[in-house]
Amino acid sequence: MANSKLYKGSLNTIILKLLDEKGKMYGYEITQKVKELTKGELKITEGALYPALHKLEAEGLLDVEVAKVDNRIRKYYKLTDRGEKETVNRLAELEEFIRSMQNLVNPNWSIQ
Amino acid sequence: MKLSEVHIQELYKFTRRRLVEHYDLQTELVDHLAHGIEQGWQKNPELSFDEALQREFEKFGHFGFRSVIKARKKAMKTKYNTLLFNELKQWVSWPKILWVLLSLHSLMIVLKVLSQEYKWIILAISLLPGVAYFIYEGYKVKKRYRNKIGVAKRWLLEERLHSVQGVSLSFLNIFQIINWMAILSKPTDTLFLDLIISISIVAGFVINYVVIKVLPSRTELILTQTYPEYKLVS
Repeated sequence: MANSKLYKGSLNTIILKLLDEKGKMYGYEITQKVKELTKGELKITEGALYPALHKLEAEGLLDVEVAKVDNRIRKYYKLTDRGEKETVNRLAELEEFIRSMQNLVNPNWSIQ
Repeated sequence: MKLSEVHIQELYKFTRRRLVEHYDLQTELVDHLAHGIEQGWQKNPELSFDEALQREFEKFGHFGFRSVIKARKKAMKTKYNTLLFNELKQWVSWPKILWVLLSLHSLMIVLKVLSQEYKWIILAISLLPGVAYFIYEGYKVKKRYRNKIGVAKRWLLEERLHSVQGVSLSFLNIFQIINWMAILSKPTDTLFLDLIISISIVAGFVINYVVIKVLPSRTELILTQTYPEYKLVS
């Protein structure tokens, strides 16, 4: 993962945001989507993605459903009602964080 | 190019060789590896199955599946604790709280009528059959799961539901509490000490009952609710 220390704390929020937009996704799809959106700048490693997904599931923010695809079982993740509310909170927190950091490093710049 | 059924079974073996023992996690990793291999073949059709697999596995980093296994176990522990907490909550709300209060009241009466000199030793001896019962029941639950290993698919939460020995043995701590009470007790604070010991005993019995009897008996239902793939493969 590029700049892993900076991204690490936001991994859960990134996952929640993607699921909020896409509805339901499976693990491999999430890694590829992040890679595509950030043009390869941010690469979520498998060793970090699944622990994050399992943690969010255990916290009750994600629900799972499965489907037989080709000759194997695929596990999809989707947001629960609590997960949807939490996504809004975490995105607001992240935006606030970015704003604060921006004020620290470049006071003349602002996000909408 | 798509993976064949033989390849999929090879991937299951691959995860098992790398200490992924439980079917729920194996299934997720197999799909991930399979998807990665198929993508790899699109870019480089010359790759052999083993080469493509190795490339995908390397993406999990230096420790392989270890961090995923560790996190999955932690997540299932959280899930189990939630189940346990929800079940215990019922024992402090109507109607089950009636049994708890009745047991507490009865114990307090018994402790009051027993002679101060012998009451702790009498209490400890009276509790022994209850403790022995839970240890025996805990052993049976564990044995039931052990017999399944190697014969049927293993699910991480199922393993957690059947890991009850520690709880039944922790019940022995009540004897330690009784011992402290016997040492610390003074004629002036008898009522308070009786209350503490009664709460400890009733709580011990309720927790052991839920962990050893209630939750394992609901294994099928809990697994069906937790793993959507459970019904698909069993």
